[in-house]
Amino acid sequence: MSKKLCLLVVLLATLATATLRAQVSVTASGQTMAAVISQIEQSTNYVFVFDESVRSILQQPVTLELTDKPLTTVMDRLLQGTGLSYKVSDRQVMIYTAQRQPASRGQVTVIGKVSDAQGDPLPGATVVLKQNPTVNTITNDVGNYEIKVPAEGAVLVFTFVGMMPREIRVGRQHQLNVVLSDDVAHLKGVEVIGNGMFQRRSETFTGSAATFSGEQLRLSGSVNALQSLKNLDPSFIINENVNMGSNPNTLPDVQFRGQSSIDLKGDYETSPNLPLFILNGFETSLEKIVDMDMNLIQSITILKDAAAKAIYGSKAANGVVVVETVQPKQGRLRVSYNGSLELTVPDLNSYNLTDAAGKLQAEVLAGKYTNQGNAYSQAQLTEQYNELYKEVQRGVDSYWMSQPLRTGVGQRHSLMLDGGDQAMLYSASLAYMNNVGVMKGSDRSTISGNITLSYRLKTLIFRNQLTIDDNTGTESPYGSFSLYSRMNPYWRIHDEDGQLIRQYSNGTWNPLYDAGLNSKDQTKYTLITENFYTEWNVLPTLKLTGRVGLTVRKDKSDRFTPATNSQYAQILPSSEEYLTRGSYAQSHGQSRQVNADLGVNWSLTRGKHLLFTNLQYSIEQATSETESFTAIGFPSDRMDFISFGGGYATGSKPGGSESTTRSLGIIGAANYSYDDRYLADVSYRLNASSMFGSKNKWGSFWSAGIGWNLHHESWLKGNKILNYLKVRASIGRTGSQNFNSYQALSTYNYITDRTYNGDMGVVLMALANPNLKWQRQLERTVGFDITLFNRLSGRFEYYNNLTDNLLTDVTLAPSSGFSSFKENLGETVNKGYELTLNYRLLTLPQSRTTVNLFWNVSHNTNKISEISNALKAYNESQDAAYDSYDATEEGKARQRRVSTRYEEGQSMTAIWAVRSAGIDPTTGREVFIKRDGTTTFEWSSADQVVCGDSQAKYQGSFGLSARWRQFEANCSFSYKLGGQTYNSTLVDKVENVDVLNWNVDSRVLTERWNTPGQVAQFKSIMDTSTTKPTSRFVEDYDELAFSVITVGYDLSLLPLIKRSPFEYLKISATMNDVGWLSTVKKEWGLSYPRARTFSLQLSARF
Amino acid sequence: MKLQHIILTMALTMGLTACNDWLDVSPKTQIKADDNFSSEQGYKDALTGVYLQLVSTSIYGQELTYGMLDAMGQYYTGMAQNNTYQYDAAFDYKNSAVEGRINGVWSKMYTTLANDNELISRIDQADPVSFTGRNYHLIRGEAYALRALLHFDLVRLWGKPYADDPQHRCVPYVKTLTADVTPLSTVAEALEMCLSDLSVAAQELAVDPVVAGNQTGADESYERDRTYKMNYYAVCLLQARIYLYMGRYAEALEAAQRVIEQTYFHFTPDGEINTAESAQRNRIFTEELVFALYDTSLRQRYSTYFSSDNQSTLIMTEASYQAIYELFNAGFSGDYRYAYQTQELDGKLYSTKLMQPNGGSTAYLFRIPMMRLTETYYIAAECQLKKNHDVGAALQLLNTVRSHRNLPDPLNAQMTEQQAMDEVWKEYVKEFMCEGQLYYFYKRLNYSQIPIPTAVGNTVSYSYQVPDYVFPLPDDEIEYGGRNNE
Repeated sequence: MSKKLCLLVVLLATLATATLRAQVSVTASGQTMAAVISQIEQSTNYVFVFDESVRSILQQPVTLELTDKPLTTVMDRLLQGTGLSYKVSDRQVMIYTAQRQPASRGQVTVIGKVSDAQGDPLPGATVVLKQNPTVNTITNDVGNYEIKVPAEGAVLVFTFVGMMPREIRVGRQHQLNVVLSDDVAHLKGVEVIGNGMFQRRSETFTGSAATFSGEQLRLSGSVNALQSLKNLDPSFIINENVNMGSNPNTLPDVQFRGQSSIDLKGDYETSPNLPLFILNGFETSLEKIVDMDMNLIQSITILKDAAAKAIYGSKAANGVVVVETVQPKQGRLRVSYNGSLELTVPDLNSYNLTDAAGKLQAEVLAGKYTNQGNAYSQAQLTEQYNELYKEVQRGVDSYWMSQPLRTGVGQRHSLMLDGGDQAMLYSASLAYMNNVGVMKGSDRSTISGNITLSYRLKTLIFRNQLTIDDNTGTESPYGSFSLYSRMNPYWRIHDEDGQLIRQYSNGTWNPLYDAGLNSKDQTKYTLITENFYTEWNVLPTLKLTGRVGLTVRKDKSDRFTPATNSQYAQILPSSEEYLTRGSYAQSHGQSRQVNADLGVNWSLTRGKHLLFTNLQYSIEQATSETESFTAIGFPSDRMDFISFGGGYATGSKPGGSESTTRSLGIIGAANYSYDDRYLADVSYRLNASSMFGSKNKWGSFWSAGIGWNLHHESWLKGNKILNYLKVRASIGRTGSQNFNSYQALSTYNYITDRTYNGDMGVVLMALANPNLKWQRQLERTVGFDITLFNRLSGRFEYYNNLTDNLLTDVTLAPSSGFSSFKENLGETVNKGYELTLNYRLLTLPQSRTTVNLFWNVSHNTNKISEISNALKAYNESQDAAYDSYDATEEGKARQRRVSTRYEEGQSMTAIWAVRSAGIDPTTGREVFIKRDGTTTFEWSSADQVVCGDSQAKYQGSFGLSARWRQFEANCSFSYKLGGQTYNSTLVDKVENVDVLNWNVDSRVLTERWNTPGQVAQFKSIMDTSTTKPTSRFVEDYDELAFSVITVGYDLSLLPLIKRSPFEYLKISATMNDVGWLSTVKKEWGLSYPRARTFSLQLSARF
Repeated sequence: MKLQHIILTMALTMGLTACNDWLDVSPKTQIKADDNFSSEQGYKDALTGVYLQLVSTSIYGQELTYGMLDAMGQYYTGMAQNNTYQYDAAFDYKNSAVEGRINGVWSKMYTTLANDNELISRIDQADPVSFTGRNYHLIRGEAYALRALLHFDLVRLWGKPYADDPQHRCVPYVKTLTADVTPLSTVAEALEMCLSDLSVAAQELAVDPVVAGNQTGADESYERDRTYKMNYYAVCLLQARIYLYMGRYAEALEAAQRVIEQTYFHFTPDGEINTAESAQRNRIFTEELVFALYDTSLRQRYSTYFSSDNQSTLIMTEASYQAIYELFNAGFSGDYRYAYQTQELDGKLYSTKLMQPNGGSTAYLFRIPMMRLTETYYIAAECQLKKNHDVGAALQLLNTVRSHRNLPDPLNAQMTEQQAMDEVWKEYVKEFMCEGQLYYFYKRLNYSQIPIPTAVGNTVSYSYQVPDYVFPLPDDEIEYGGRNNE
């Protein structure tokens, strides 16, 4: 497998600089021919192949100068008089001794070596006599073979699983060294798509999959692999987190091709739309991928359509992301080091708060200092105002927002050793990542170690990979950023003695006071991953594989609040509660996942027919447990260990949860191609899982795809404009099942708080649905891949995914004994398209200059076509919450927010609000438009209509990557068009802001209504009523973000480095989230600010 | 090629023979239903779970006893103006608190039934031999009896009075644990099903230790305190109640006689009641409780609803007490139910029947009365009147009770049938305070007005024109059960 991966990388790299119709320029005066050849290799994409005997001849010096000549001319001149011949097979140039063999009848023995494009031998490759397939052999462990064939007209077929077969006529040459994977027209064809279970040649595969190399990922960002993936593929979307901004401890909300699932009650263990992540063949968590060292990633493949992912059956509906790590390479011991220094800088551009003077003015406008009815009170208010006015005049203008912030200085180091010979490959790596957040004290660090050993014994391969990750995530003791952004700027932070002021006039504690105490908010995990892999190449065409994976994870979280925290300030020393101040909550978790699978790969070649088949049997068990408890009574903030606690929290009991799931599956997949022109894929998975109802444990998933490589048709072959065109279509069914383990079970719980005359009783927990099954998704995809003028390559896909059997609550008649139960009901449709274009703008082989442009776009529409009665009831309860009077802060906040409504025919991301006719200039009140078109001052939930959609109509990215000599640069932008957003800043910080107590957006001053006749965007500054969802704050949201820029310089070719032991040395710099332009002025990062990350990297190998 | 075939076949076989059992996962924090019913203890625990749910305040723990139903029975004439139960007393079904309580009864009754039905369906399939002693019969009999008990009360709450319209489609008689909607049954149909469940129960409970005077068998600890369980005589009493509700007096009388003639339950000795030591007083008349629910949390609720002076206090005017206990008649104030089950608070009186004094004997505590021996005397008396028109026999039954309540003289043997029936009513009022039975009495006899006892001029004033004896179906039941079309 590692070979093919290496091959993949090389080919991808080759592709990036490919020049298909290259003119060759060489200059040589006395250099060896070998040097000239390597010069050609470097400036073109040609790969030269020759054996040791040829190499000695190539040590001869040569002098020639040729500019922009075809390769054949150059080769003819070069090999003149050496007795050597050459043969160009598109990208590959084979040089051999042109000796003549005596002709003889009967048998001849052909010997040679089979290797891949890198020159690494291919053991276990098949060599078959085409005329008589019973005459065959396989290459030995160093790739050599020997076969007796008829002297006349023998044709040998060389095959190796996953590579292009080659036919070679045995002529007078009886030593045939064969490189598999040659043919440039097949360049894409040799690209291999690894789906985590087996591999497919990309050219004959009809499924939709996008593969990105580790190098591409690293050029597209330095934060984590998923952030980079977002910049590369338009189908992979990370939803912005308005609250958590750039908190290093917040996992990204990843989504693939739209939302399909609804989760009202936490039925899902993770986000219901989360894709499946596969790491080295086994399922892994989003967190593991985020915490991975990007330098260890060999490639990431996104499986998009049914044909590509149906093999993952009931887990595949949300897309599959397959991550492969770097495997050891053959050779002497190599040491690779990657290090980076990262600066994370807070970005507060989205904030637009008033300064001290402005805030005071806003308070005046809001009438804080006016009480015309009461002269005494008015006098007091005036005095208050004068106090503050004096403060402002003295220049008090505290910038609270900077208080909890810093420039984070993080670092990453990874060291990898690898090497080995034919029999044994090894690698060991150690990585340290410290991701330092912009809020003081917030960081996340991971140490991971990995050992990979691979042993090859003739046709057997064993590989073992052991990884240990240790992660600690610490939250800032400064708490939520919103505590600071709301503080009034006319408040001093410190008093005259430089001491923190503890409390302010409205009773607010200085948040910096709590931040200065010793507190703790930390989560830790240790993850051990052990994967064992074995492969037996029984026959050249038959391979058996077996894998066992074990993942053990231990989690711990600690949250300590000392007694001195301001939340306990009201508790008097005389009260009983005084001793119970301070709390420490701790939780522990253990989870274990065991997977095993057994696979058979079998391939068949008959003339132009090519068939790859795979059969796999897999079995999995995942268990997890958590326990949690809270202790109270921590008198001192120094006593930060749980055992210092005075007791358990009153009335508290230990918490905990447990889950076990088991599943097994049988997967069959076949890929057929005829002459590389007509292609077909089918796959089938029979899946069983303990999560489903007792009557529906088994489910089947399938896919079928067809494709046509038009560029292989005789009438297109060699076409100068259209170089590559594959059209494909697929259909299939996948499922999603990342919901809670036991919801299909009928279970009892003990009643623990009372007995019946001393007897314990059990009670039914829920009404089980024995018919409960997975959500199904019918996926239909059509697409094409195209290359024009050898410069422009593109890929287009249209999909229509129908999700039905949605897992949802169904409200029951209470006479059933329960209010609801789980049912498969409801339907959503996501359809859309994706287009990716790459354009090779410039290629200058001599100066190694390439400039590539890329652009991609995705469009998705979401529609709910059927919902359950429970969702209708949910809508009603939301409406009731809007319409009811609620004086609590939480209640008001809930009424200000737009809520998701589920209505048939509408999108799940629709923004529901009451249409607004604006602010009435006479009264300063908002005028609403009812459903029947009449206007009113009264907001009513019945008048809510769809006023926008938070999902952008079009989103994607564009950018360029360029290389000039040793320099490389990459930059990408992402954009969103055609969506809307509900501007929560206008609602919370301008219109519903508590002007009297907190700092406000400066638009309060200028744009709120305050005099009759004024045309204003915002309602009267005196009006303290709650602004419920209104179309006034639904804004068109278009955004252009400068996502990343990377520049690098390869020092390897510098003479100084060449003389040093370094084989490779490169420095680069990356800047993430450089900036953005948006049509909406809205605060981002409310609880944790957004940040930009600058990173300086060094990569070395020796 | 052969080898390939062998391997393919092997791989397939391995996959397909994979055991379904392996996919049956047992959670650790909950008990899978199948696991629970794998042992006798599980059946016991499931039945105990049903009893524990009966104790819930939304049903017998409060609303169907001293709470909503007694408010509707017009006991609490001294309630504060803003006591939420005043709307119950006014039958204001539209009031959100009342509506909430009614819906709560409906859903809790059916949740309990769901648990009971699951137990019944499991024990019907269980092997009786695998149970200790007679436990199989006890558990199965009680489970069937509880199903009848709950459905009968549902019919009595949501159905029109049998005497008024036995064909009223009122409640679903749910016999299985299912998400499917069970159609509504008529009052008559539902009562027949109750009776048929009770005949299964009576058959199974023929082995009940109480029948032989509480001789416990192989599983002593499980057979203890049969008063807390739906025992054989509780089944008989329930049968008598149902027959009476249907006007089938002969059968009612026969069932009541079975209880009257039994030897296990008996009248509470005077000494336990009239003891001078308040904390040691038997206010609940333990020995007469044919069926009571065990509830240790009663103490806390008692202090909320009775002993303290607050807006929740369920209290009566003094005039009401005078009317109920006919205190204007000489010697009537000696009635144990007045003398020892009543306390004064600011000129009003409340019942101390459920009092849980600290230091009291556990033999008298933690009991919510569900069925009382005296009810069989009343049922028998009513049957004697209605069926045999035998005033003498009726009065004899009533006098038996009255003598145990320390009432001075036997009733006047010359009274008319109607007067005798009035005496039955008076007994219901006095005897079932805090037990919810009085409301059913009025409904069974289809009283058009519910009397509010006051002693103004020694007469009973009729006040409430009962708007509707039929509880409205919960909105959710109508909407999600499709009850509009039924």
